Amino acid sequence: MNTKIVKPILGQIMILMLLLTGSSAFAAEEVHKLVIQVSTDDVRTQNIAMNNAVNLQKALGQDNIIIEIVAYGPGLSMMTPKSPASKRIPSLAMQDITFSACGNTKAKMEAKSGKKIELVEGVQMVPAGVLRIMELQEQGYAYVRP
Amino acid sequence: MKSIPDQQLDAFVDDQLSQADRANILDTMESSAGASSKVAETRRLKDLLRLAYQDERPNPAQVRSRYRKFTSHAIAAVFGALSMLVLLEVMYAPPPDSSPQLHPQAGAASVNNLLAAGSRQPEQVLFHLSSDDQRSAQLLLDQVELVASHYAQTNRELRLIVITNNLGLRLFQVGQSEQADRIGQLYRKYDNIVFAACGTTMGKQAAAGEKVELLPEVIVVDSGVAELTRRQQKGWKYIRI
Repeated sequence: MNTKIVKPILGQIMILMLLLTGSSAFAAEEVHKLVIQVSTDDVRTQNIAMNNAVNLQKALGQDNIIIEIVAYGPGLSMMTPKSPASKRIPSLAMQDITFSACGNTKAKMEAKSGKKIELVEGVQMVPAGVLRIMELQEQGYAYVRP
Repeated sequence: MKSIPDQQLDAFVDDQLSQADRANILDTMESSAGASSKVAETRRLKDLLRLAYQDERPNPAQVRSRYRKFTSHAIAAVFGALSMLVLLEVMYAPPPDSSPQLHPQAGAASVNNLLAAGSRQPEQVLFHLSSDDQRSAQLLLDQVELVASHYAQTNRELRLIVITNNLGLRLFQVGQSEQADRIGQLYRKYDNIVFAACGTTMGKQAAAGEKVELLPEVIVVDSGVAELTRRQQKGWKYIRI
C-alpha cells in the first residue's frame, strides 16, 4: 500500500532538490559589475564603449553583468542628441545598460554656451561623473576606459 | 618553449613597450607558462628592489620628506582638529549666542564628521595621464579640483595622487607645461594632493639627451605604472584621463 504513494513523493522530492541545487549553483555564479568611462568627444571611442557593453552582455548573459557607462568632460556629447553615437542609447538603456551623464560638465557647458543642453532618453544625470566612477569602484565595479 | 629576452622583459614590466611588442609578449605569456612565471618573478624582484631602495634612501630629491610624512601629518591634523571641535562642543554644550565657530549647526556638523571619519576610511584616488594632449591636461586638473573640493566641502578625508608618465610627463615639466600655474595653485590650496612623475619616463628622456626639470610641486616615483598597480591593489580608486 505504502510503496505506491511513497514512490511518487520521493520522485517529487528528488526533482525539487535538483531544482534547488540547480538554482543555488546559478545564484553562486557571480554577477560582474563594470563601469565604462567615456571622457572624449571622439564618436568612434563612444561607439566602442557601447560595443564593449553589448559584447559583454552577450558573452556573459544579460543577467550576469551590470554595466554603467559614465560620460564626463568632452565625453558628455555622447549623451546629447548632437552626437551620432547617442542614437543607440535609448534601446541600449532598455536592455539594462545604465547611462550616467556628469551634471557638473553639463552645468559648465550650459554656462559657457548660454543654452540648455538636452540629454537623450534613457540617460540619468549624476552630480559628477568622476565621483560616480569612484563610488562604483568602491562598490566593486571593474573600470574600463576605451 | 618560447621565451622573452631580458631587455624586453624589463621594458614590459615597466610598461615601456609599444602596443605591438606588448601584444607579442602577452601572446608568448599565454602560450608558455615558463614565460609568464618569468614575468611574475621579474615583477616581484622589481617591487622588492623598489621597496628596499625607498627604505634606505630618504633622499629628498627622490622621495621628498613631505611625501613620506604626508599620511601621518594628514591623520594627525584631522584627528587633532576633530578632537578640538568635540572638546569645544562638550565645553560649550549650550552654545553661546554669536561665536561663529560654536554655531549650533557647526557643532552638530563636527560631531557628524567625527562619526563619519570614525566609520569610514579616507578616500584614496589615483589620476593617471599619459598623453600630452592639452585638453586632456585641462580635463585632468578640472576633475582633480572637482574631487578635492567635493571632499573638502563634505569634510571627508581624501588622499589624491596625480601620476603622469610617457608624454603625460610634459604636464609636470618646467618650460613644457601649460598648466604650471594651476598646478601650483592646486598644490597650495589642497594639502592632500600629490603630483608624481614617472622616474622610468624621466630616465628615458634623459637617455635621449633631453634635460628634464620638474615643477617644484612634483615628486618622482620609480615607475608610474608600478605605483598605479600597487596602490590599486591596496584599494585605491583609479581614473585615467
